[in-house]
Amino acid sequence: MPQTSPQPIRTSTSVRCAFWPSVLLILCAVYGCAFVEFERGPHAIRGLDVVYSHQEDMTFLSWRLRDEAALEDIEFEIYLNFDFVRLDLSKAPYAAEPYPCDRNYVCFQYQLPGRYNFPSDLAPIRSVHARHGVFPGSEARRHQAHQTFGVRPIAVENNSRLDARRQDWFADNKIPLKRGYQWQLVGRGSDTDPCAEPRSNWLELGARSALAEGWTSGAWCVAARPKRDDNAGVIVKVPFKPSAELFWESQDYVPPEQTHATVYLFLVDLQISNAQRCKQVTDKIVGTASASLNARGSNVVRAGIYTPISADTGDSTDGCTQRARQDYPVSKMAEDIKNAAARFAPERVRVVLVYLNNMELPPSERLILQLYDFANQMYQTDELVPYSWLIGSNTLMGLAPWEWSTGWRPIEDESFLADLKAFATYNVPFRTMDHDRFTQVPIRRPEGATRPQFFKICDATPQISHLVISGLAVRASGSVYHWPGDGALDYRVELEPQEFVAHVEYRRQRVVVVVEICERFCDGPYRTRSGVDYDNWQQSQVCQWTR
Amino acid sequence: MKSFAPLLTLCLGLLAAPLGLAAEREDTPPNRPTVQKRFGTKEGHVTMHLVGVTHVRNDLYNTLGAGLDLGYYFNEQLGAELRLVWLYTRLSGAGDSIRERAGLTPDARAQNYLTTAGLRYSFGYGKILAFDTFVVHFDPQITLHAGTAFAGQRVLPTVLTGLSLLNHFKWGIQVKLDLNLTAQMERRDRGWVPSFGFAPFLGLGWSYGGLAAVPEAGP
Repeated sequence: MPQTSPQPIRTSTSVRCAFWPSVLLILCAVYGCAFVEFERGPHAIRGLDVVYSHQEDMTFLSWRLRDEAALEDIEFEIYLNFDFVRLDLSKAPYAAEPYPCDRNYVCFQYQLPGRYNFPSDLAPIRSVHARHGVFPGSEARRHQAHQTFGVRPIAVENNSRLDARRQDWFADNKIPLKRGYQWQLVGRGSDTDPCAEPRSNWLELGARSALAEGWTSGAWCVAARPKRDDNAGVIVKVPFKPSAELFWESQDYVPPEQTHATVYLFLVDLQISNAQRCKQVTDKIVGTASASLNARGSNVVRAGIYTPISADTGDSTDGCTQRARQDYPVSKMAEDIKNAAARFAPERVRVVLVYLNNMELPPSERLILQLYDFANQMYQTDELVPYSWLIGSNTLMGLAPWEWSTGWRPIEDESFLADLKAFATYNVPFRTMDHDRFTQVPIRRPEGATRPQFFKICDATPQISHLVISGLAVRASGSVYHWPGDGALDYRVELEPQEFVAHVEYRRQRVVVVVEICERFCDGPYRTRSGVDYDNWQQSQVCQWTR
Repeated sequence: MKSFAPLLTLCLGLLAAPLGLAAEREDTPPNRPTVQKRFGTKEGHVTMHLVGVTHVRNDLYNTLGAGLDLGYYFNEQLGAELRLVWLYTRLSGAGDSIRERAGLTPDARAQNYLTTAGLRYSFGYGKILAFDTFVVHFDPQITLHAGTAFAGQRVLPTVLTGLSLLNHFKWGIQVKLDLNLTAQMERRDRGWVPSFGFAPFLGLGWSYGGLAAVPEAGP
């Protein structure tokens, strides 16, 4: 029999790979494996601040726990008289329920009268969990403050409300402290007398506390204090005077605009040998342009259609054959224009000369001069403002400063007809802005104001050039001016002039002027819209309107 | 805690054994092999067990718990179960020592509740004669549960699996011992962290078969 050598027992790689991890997992599970690290747990005190206030002669303690702590199972102990004693947070002078603070924390507070002393190497407050026992506290951060509470009252909303502008040392230093505050007005004989003693009727101090109507007629102080159930604690008294009573308004001015009547005429000087084709072309161009112009309104009038006249006979030609000796009927054209414009008198009228010439050669110098002569006749009449529109070849476009030009193309080209129509929709009616740098724009009394005394120009866009008070111009530089009473108050402003501007190109310009008036207590303090306070409205160039 | 549970199980089993003795007498002549009908059947039965548990994770906490298992068997092999357990967890001696000295605690939180749902599979049935005196009927089982544990504000996905011994006694009374391995995930401040442990459950309960009229099972 053949001998066979014993084969080694093979194990699959996957089995070997899975074996040891499996063993580790089972061992881990049997003996437990929680991968624990240590931390200051949720029941351990963090961020303990101990603040002694000289002003209040009191020590404030503030600390926190993680918000996942089971608060119902936790009590606190404080180190007093060489031992830790149970702390009843509700017995604190400024007692507060635990409250959320920062992020993921719950804050606690307690106060002790006088200065609280404790060993420097000891955490003076510790927590006790009902099940897990005592958790030593964290090291205390010690602070001292001379003044922890104060007010700088200012009347806002035209003396209808009080903002105490409370000074809070704890908030400034980001140390949590929750307590309420109270205030009252106490009288004094005059502005130089001391403040009287407060009475027992304290009011809750909010962000905006209502002031009694008519309080501005007397001399007052504001008395304020942190709220304590035992009516004890520090009281501060600060003189309090009315604020400036102000009204402001943003006043818009859009200059009025005027649309002008349009009188147009055609001067046909073509070179088309086929008379029938020439008539067809002329009719098409004149008809399309006239229709689009007439569609722009009733104050668009056609004066006529003109063709050159023979220099020899003075007779009109058909406008289809250009001759060496021909003239343009300038006098006739000017006369007809004036007659047509007369119906719109005394308004100024835009005169549109539509010049048709399809030749690539420039017309003779004499004809060009005749066109200039026509323009001069128009300019010599104040009511007529000429405008030239060439429908012709590229050669002619460079010959004179046409205000509008349309390249010559066959009338079968739709784009050519569309261009002819575009002239009317783009330009007509022509517009003029009724404003110049001497125009005086009135300033109205702001709504709500009844007895203005002073005013400021807070803002003007664009910048106004002069302020005119009762006819006397002054610079408008943010100063304080007397309200003119019955006199007029105007300003002047320079705007970009627009005269006989194409309908589409006309820009409606807007002037915004912010005026602020003061009625009473104009030398008093005030608060801007952005919340910045100033001591004296009359001596400041800043408006209440200012953001 | 680990050493208490098996001991407790053994004691309870011994106390309950006489009930099994009373439940059945061996009247068959010893020289003739027979196949008996099962003494403890499960198909169509609703079960309810009061359970005691300890959970060992080596996390510096000691945990004891008590709760309720509600089950239903679809057939003799397979049953479903709901479990609700209240846990009492506190720091161990070593954990207490660290807390007192340094104010530090494990970043794992003490667990308060465990709720799971799972399956229970019987892969056999047997009986033994103990001390030549009484007979115990039992099912060896495999269990698999999944659910959540609650530790303060944290919720821990939890899986339990292991072997179980379900003992049948007179009047439908049952005693079971589950030896479970546990796997959990906990979202601690440093992120999700796994943990593994051991959780023996000892249960005393009652099986009620009146809901479904099924023929008695064969051997």
